[in-house]
Amino acid sequence: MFEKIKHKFSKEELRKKYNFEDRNAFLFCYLIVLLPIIFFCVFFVYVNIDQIFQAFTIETDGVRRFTFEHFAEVFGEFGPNAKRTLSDGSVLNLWQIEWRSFQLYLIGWLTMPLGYMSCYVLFKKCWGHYAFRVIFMIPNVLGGITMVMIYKYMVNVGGPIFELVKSMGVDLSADALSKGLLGARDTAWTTLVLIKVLPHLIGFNIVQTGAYARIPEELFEVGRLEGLGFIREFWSVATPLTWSTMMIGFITGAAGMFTGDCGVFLYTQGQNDTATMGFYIYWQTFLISGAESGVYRPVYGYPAALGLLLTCVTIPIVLLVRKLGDKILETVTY
Amino acid sequence: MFADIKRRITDKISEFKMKKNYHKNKSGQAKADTSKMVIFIIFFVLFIIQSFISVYPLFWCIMNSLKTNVDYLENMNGLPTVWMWEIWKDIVPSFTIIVRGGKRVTFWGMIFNSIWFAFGTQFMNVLASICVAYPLARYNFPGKGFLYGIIIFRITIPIIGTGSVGYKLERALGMIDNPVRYTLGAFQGFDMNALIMYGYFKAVSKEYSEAAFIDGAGPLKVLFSVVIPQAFPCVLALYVNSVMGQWNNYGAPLISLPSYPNLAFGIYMADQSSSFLGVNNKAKFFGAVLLSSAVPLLLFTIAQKTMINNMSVGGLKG
Repeated sequence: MFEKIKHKFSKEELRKKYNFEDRNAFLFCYLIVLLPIIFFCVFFVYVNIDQIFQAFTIETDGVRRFTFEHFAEVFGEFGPNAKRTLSDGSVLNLWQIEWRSFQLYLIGWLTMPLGYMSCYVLFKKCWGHYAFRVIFMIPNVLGGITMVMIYKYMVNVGGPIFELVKSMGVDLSADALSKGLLGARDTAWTTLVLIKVLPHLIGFNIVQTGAYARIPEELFEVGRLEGLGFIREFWSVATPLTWSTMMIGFITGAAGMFTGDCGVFLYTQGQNDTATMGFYIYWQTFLISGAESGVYRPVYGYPAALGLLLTCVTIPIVLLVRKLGDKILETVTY
Repeated sequence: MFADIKRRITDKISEFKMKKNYHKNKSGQAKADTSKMVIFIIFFVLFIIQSFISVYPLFWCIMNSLKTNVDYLENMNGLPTVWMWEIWKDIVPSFTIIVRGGKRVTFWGMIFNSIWFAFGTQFMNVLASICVAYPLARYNFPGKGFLYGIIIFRITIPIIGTGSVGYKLERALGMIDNPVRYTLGAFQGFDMNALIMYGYFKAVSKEYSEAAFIDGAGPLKVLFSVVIPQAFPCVLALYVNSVMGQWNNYGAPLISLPSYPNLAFGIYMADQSSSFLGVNNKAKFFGAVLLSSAVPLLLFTIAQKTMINNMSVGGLKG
């Protein structure tokens, strides 16, 4: 076996198979990707190996030993006796945290058809399409932190959203009335979901529009001549032809299934039962960065074990989504 | 290829036609036009509502950046009683934050940090993506499939919770609080940008490159003098899009660059303790929030056409 490989890659064999120009081209290719490969090995491969190492080992008295303690701790946090709490007394039960992140994913799925359809309507140049495209990009362009800061004050006591909710006759608790919609346990999560979902319910997706724009006009023309309605054209012509692009959205969406964030770190820092898994994972790193500057002892094992567990659960789901996606519609290359 | 797709779609259409029993093309087209009109009307109404939802927060923020604190508390949702334009003059001098080690960082300091953090790191990232995507798109070399597989793996397989061990590595490499090393560390090309670039490089005509090769240009010369200028719209679109995202990134500087706060980090700090901003701090806070978005807004205004027309992703086969 080894001899066979050695023979295959021997100088003589390579010279026979590839001419001088080919070999020069290969050299260029390998040199140009060399640095990215090194960075990939350091920042991806090493980090992942270290994550596994940290998850399965613990250091006691300067000696590192194999352990399942971190996983036991993670499973413990999923149970009713979760120990980690926030300054407002919220217990960080991982089931509840995970459920919140999953809710965000489900809502994303439910609103997705409307998103694609609206994108298609804009692509088909409905009235004012150009102005709408620009307007819908505003929240994305302004950026997460800007929008979060604005919404945070809009849902505060006296803010327009707070006043709107009050005028709709919603029975608000004393906490909500005094601290705002994010300041009370009964309203905080619902408020977060609404301010996350509503601004992006209908939107303009640059990548998807780019995919629609690549479809040759003749294909739409054929449909039009055959009398296809708008919805049928969207479903039978545009969707199959952009399915590969959509699949990337589905797959990356599925990859984030258990780690939805919702800007919790900026809105509430997880208080009032709003912690999500995305927030929780970032928060662990945030705590470690504080610990490294001397506040307390950094612990890598627990977040590594949690990440590993979530990765193991998510990978089969992502692969399943990919497989299902391929089965539902065949990817068309054109 | 085209003929094949056309045939497949035509087959589907014929199937559909049989099911729905359309009589003639003419009546079909009239029906199609009506359905299009109905959909357009429904979506037009939805778009108007959505536009209000998108624009109103910005309008509300601008209004409140022109109010005194008293006016803000008494009249949060109305127009300013007195339009305090002079507050805006005070935003830049007042927006100073104190970071680790008691270091004071002014607005201009934060702008400077935002510029190198967003433009520098994303330059490295896009450059790395070009280095990965170009040979994959244009050359056939042993190991090509494997490298393409790495990109697909990175995009599709979620590796969760590496933040803490990633931070540990950054510490070990001396990247924490070190702008140069942090920027160099962004040279990571096996990502979505590489996939987008790969598709674009494949689509760009090879004739110019071949002509350059015949004229004696080397592969690097061809890449930088022929291919990148040809693919410039895509490169620019990706770069601007990445810069816009990075400009608003508060999370990474908060953890990895605590002494070099960018504007997003500054906004986060100002929100935690608005005493940084002094008198009329609410108006100044909203003004600072708006100022922090000025650069992405400007970039988008300049490059929106390029961005909209040049960003598409191909398949995930591999």
